[in-house]
Amino acid sequence: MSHVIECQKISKRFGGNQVLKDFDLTVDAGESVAILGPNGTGKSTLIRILASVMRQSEGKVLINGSEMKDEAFALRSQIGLLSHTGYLYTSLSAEENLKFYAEMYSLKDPEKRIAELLEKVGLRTRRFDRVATFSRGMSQRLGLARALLHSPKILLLDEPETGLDQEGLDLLWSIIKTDDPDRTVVFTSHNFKSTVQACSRLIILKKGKIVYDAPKGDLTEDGLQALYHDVTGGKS
Amino acid sequence: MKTFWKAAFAIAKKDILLELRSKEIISSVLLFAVLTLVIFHFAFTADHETMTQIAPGMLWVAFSFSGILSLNRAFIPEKEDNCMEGLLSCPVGREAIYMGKCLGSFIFMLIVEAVVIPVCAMLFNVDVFNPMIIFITLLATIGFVSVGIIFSALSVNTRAREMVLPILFLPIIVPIIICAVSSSSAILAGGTFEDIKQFLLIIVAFDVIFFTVPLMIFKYVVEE
Repeated sequence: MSHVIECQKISKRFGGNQVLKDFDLTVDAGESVAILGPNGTGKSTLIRILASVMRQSEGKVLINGSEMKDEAFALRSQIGLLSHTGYLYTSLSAEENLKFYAEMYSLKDPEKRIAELLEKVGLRTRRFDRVATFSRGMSQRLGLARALLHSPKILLLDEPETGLDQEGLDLLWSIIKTDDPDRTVVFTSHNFKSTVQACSRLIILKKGKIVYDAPKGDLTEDGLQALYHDVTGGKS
Repeated sequence: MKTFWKAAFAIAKKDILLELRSKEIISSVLLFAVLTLVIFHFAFTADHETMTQIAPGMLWVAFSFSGILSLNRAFIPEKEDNCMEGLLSCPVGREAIYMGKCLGSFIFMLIVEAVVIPVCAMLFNVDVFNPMIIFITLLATIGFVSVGIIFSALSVNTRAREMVLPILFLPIIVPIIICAVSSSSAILAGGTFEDIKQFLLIIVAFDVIFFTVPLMIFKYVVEE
């Protein structure tokens, strides 16, 4: 059986700067994979390559056995992406933003899905308000609604906790888990607490290479912190 | 193909909605274009025949520089909150994004032209409402916007984008402007379709090249 996500020897260079080198990774259905690592180690680059918003310099990315390069169109509709920004147009209202992205994803019944998601992220009463008037937490929740709009089977999150307090972060993760418990989630983070709560598998990167990859098991927040410092030789 | 056009129209519709909210582009561009013609009006006091010769040039000075102002801001909404990445993650071709941005900018340019042409006719007393001149303007605007959008996408992430865009864009677009001005002058001087056929062919050739090449290379511009 093929993996949901499979990276085969992917490399990425920015000019002379090698960010990822011969990077291999497989993720199976339903896994919640946390990717940790110091800044500049290639976490965001990896997420962007998996989401096909950036092309790798070398190697292959396969989603459900199909190569991203050949079937990017179809595969993108299986992927939801959220980074520390929500990819939202601040002059448009919450509903207008979701309607625009619903058109981009060619959703069949967008009104129903938009109403459902706005309810879920607690923004139904603010649906006609411009995103510019939203707090950071509200924008991020709307960004999550945008990422979940097309009910993707794979959710990629790049440091979604940036700027959120613990309450906002807990809400974000509860929405992700309740929307589709079987969804495959790959996320990068610097937050040990939410990582321990949300992941089933832990990967630590250092200089574009995997230096730790294991199921989370019964690892605690303190245990993860100690492990991280031990593996990376520094602080997050 | 249906998805392509649906996505392109959605992007153009979104750009128009954003502009209706902010009025950032239209207000500044219209003010600039009209002001340019008003300054020319006070600078030149010539007879009708001379005005007929120079009016198309003045018109295209107003179109070109106001168009650059507009193109400079074409990708600003995508830059805010990193929306370009959001667009790139959608299951649509990069070509559809390019087409959508072109459609949006083309509509902005049409609005500017719809205001500037009557102002030009009024200030210089020349018949720029001639259907042939409007046809030439539309044809030249297609090439102008097609090539402008790719350079706008290139320059949006540079620090001095207001300078980078005209430096890259103007030398490329000069043939279209020259042909548009020359053919419009010929029509105002009483020329026929046969007289301007060669200019129109050049504009059409540039339109085809300037539309096809950016369409093919847009993905390389936005993905890196």
